[in-house]
Amino acid sequence: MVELTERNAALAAIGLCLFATAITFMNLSSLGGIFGVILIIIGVLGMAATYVLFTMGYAVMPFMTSTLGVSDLLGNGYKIPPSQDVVIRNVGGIYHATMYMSARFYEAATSEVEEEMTVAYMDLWERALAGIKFPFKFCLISFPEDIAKYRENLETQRYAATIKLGKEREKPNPDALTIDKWEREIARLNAMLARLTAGEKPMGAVMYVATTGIGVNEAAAIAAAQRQVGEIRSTVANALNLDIKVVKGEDLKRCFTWEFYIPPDRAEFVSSL
Amino acid sequence: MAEVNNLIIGLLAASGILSLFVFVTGGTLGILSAIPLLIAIIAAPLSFLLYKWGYWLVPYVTRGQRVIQSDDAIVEIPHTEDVVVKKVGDYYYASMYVVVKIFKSVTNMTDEEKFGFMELWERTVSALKPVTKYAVLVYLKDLYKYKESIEARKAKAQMEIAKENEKPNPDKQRLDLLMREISMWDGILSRLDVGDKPTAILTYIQTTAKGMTKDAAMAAARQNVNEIRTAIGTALNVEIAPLSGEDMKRCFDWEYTLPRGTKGL
Repeated sequence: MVELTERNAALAAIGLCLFATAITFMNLSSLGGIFGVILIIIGVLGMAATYVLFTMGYAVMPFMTSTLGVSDLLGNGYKIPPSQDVVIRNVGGIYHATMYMSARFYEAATSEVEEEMTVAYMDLWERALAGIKFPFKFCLISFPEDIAKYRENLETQRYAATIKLGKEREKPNPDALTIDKWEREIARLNAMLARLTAGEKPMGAVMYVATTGIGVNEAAAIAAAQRQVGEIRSTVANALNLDIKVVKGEDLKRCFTWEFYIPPDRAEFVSSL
Repeated sequence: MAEVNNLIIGLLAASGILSLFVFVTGGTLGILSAIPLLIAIIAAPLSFLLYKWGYWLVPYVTRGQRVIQSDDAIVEIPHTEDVVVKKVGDYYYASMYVVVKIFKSVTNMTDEEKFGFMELWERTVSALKPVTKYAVLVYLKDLYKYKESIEARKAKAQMEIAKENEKPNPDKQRLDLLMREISMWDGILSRLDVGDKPTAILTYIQTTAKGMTKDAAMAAARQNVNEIRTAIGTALNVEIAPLSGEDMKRCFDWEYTLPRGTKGL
């Protein structure tokens, strides 16, 4: 039996909407021109809206909850206000506001960069951590990638790069820089494939940072958390060349529930993202 | 939640059946065919909207409820206090937290050691089958307790100096050592007085296992911990131990990572 996951629900909704729109198109003459056209427009808009909700729901939800003034009580005193960018908890009259940020590394430590860079990175990492004087948490969730798919993807990329390199070489005046770029790309992909052949397993990772501010009321706690977020962004992001963004809506809830449990299987974890 | 799920399936089914009805009749009903098609076209996207946000949209639309209650933060901690159990749907999820004690700072490693450590780390992590979370938690120590402990250590050093001075032949080296210790505690205390917050760093790994029963999930989580302990502990030469009680709660409960009460604030 097919499980009702978010992806399946989106596909079913888009598929059925497309089916209904196609039937409208087929019976356009019997429906009376203008009604049929209106139905087709509604159908196309419905499909587009479903796709946007599926892919960018995290951005739409905070807007909707803020507009409608809906807040979420998570139990145990935790609350997500309508802005959907912070989790608040009242502990004995003191408010704790926790904000989550996504962190994006652009390179693995050992695959593509030079040894000196890796070494410098580790030093910077320790110093950046030691330099922050308020509570924060840096989390990395690792999960094994599907080796077959990963290998296939690398081979496709290598094939594409080889074709592009060949095309550039066939030109009457080939650009040396472009040739060098594609040669490097092929060498990088070859190195990754060689690592797979040597028995290394590909790994996926999700990273996020959390920080908590405290205050005598909700606004003060949120302000403290926002100040801390700014400090983390400037300290850690600059030192480690990370892309740090505040997470909102569903992503915020996801980060919050990961504190208690993480989906243990790869498939379950990936489908929850 | 079950009601919302039924509603979603109902809307999808209605969309499919109504479209199929118009397809079979071939639009012979003329303009009346537009009604089932309109319902089908609206029902399909609506089903996804409800799937995604039904938990708050349905109470909001039906009862005007602006505060949504959920149980995302409600977990069970058994009496052993080394595991967190949460029931989601028909399954139990048990999470365990293990502390990683790294005795050597990277600043004390040679460049080769650093690179080797990083390479080993990536290889070990990629070899682990379950989804695993690695976290570095910088938390605030209770200022008053910390200050008290520093003052107690300072007083102890002062007493030792007094005892040493009472001796007929006091050991100058020992006295010097104790004086240095006192100045170290004074330095820490003066930093606290000017507003520096005492912080500590906890590196931990979180692993979750799923089971049909609570015990099955807990047993699987313990097995994961053993796997992590063997893989990471051996490869990186670090000490790994399960966290329990307050140390475990610190990993997910912010109440334990921050000084409590107004005094701390």
